[in-house]
Amino acid sequence: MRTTDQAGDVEGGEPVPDDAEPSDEAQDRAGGATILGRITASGFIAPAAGLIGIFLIFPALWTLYLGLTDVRLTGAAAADPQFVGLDNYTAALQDSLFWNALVVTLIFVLGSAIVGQTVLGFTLAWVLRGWRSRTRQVIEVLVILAWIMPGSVVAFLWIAFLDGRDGTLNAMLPFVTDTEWLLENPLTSIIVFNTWRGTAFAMLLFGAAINSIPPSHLETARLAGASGWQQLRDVVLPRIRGHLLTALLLLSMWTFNLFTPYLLTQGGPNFETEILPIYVFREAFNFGRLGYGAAISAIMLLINLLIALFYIHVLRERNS
Amino acid sequence: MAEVRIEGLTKRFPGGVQAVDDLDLDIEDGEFFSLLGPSGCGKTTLLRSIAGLETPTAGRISIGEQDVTRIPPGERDVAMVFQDYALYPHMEVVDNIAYPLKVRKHSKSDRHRRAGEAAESLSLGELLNRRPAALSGGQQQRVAVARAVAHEPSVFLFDEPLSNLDARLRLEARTFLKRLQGDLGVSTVYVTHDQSEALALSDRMAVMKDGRIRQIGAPEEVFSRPTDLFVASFIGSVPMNLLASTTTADGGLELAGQRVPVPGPYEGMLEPNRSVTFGARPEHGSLTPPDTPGAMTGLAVVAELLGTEHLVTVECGDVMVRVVTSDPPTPGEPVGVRFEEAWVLLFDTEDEQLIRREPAAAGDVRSTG
Repeated sequence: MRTTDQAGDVEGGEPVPDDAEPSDEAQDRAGGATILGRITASGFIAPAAGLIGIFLIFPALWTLYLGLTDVRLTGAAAADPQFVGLDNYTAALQDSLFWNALVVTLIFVLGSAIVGQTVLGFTLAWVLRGWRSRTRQVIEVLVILAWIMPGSVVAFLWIAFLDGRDGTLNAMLPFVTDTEWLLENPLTSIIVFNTWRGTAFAMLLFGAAINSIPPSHLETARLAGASGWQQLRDVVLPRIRGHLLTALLLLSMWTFNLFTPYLLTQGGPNFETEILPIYVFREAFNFGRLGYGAAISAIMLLINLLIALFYIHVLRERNS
Repeated sequence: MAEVRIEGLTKRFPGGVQAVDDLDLDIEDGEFFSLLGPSGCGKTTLLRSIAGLETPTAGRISIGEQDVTRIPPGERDVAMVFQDYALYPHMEVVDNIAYPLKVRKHSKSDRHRRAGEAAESLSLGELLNRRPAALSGGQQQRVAVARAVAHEPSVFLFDEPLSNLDARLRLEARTFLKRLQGDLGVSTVYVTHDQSEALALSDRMAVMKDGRIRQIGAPEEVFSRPTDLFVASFIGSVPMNLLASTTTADGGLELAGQRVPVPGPYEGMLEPNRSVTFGARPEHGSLTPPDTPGAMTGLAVVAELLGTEHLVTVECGDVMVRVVTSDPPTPGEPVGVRFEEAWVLLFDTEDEQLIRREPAAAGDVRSTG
């Protein structure tokens, strides 16, 4: 079946004959015969399916298995890991640093993915929509630069930017200060950092979504006397809700799994910026507790799944 | 209800495109006024300027007594119907129709009552709780009109509202629009590139080209007495015959190498050896036996059925002349062609203007050299 959005786009296309059932077309399409036989089709899919199995599904299952053992990076438990059941999981739930990491991660996601990238990205896209092409292109290029540069380069730039004695930020501030931003406001720093880094993607996505709204829809609202906010609430947001939720889903999951803040703060000071990926890294590779790290990874997988299910549920609600 | 007055309106887009060029226009209260022209002639820009969706580079627009040139669209009390209808897919029909009322903070019961009335008058009563996607093109178009009607504006603005409909529906929609506008008596500006729509709907119409109005008047007048060659060639579902011709010393016209008399209304107005364009609608021509005095002679080459009559193309020397007749000749047959003199128009080939009988008024002097 067509979704509401597609069926709403008859303008500009062929006119629907009066009183015709709008679903005729869709039914015709579904009735077509398959071009390839089942076996040939499976043959074509097999290589891709095989690669997915080897590189995605197997490691995921292997991680689940490792999470149930006491395997270590080195030593006796590396050569001969023992099955320990759910010990790793119960240990995690009793580790205050695990809970700390979870809370820090949630704040990080909320601050940089949802408030930062999504809200800022949308605001930029909405404000820039009416701008003339040249100015807009320059801004877009600048913002996208932040997005395409390698994480390690960006991390170095931000360390230089936020440095206490010679940092660009302190030099730019109108008052004299030697604030060590990464030490004194570490979580805020990495939230701002990740917002800066990911806003371009959100802006491009929302810009495309806003452009997909026919100008006449906004003009009709303007002629009715709708303010900018009313246009946004009544015309734009309902129309791009799907884009919005998809972007939120992607941005939250990417941010949830992001390791780059490690390059700025290594999780410190005093675990204040230790998000879950850094916690896993520290446990698994600094302390060599591979089994425990695998268990935490499995928990992260579960949380990702919950985030995804939540958004998919909200998306479904809209279509029903 | 209000009249619309446009004075010296100019719109230049960044990049240098001059869409509207120093244009003056008065649209009377309650009038159905069409803006007709080829794409890019500035008609839509003019309409959008009246709506307030474009800011004029220069000039003044007033609606009723009020100068609205610098007033935002929402405060102009106009309603516009767009070519793509601009229905909100996430709202039911009733909410779409009532949206302008909602923005103006009418109570919910008032909104629904007025939306219901507007829908009823456009036979949409059954469809109030559907989404636009579940409507046919014709129904969507009527919802868009209902939204404008429920708004009760002083001016309706239509931007090619029928061009997304198929031919049969377009005729129906034309009839109901005309009737609706007559019933409501709201001043209406209607933009179209379809000359038959403009002729059928308008009380008055303006033909535009390159940001200027070429002719303004009642449809009958624009159809039968186009004041220049562009209007003459643009109006008419079967194009007008426009034939290069020269006046002769003995008071005749040389047309496709043949001599025909100067049409009655123009007698004594033309000096010899003047280049003129002979304009005559195929509907005003008739076929005669070949070599009839005063008629052009040629070979019938094609006869196309128009319905009740045929459109016959006659080759006279190297020009093609078209005539509508109920009794078509067989192709290849020699025939004579004659046009009713009262309907023939002569244009000055150089300045492309209609040659008028009346001695030129002060502002209308044209050198006849």
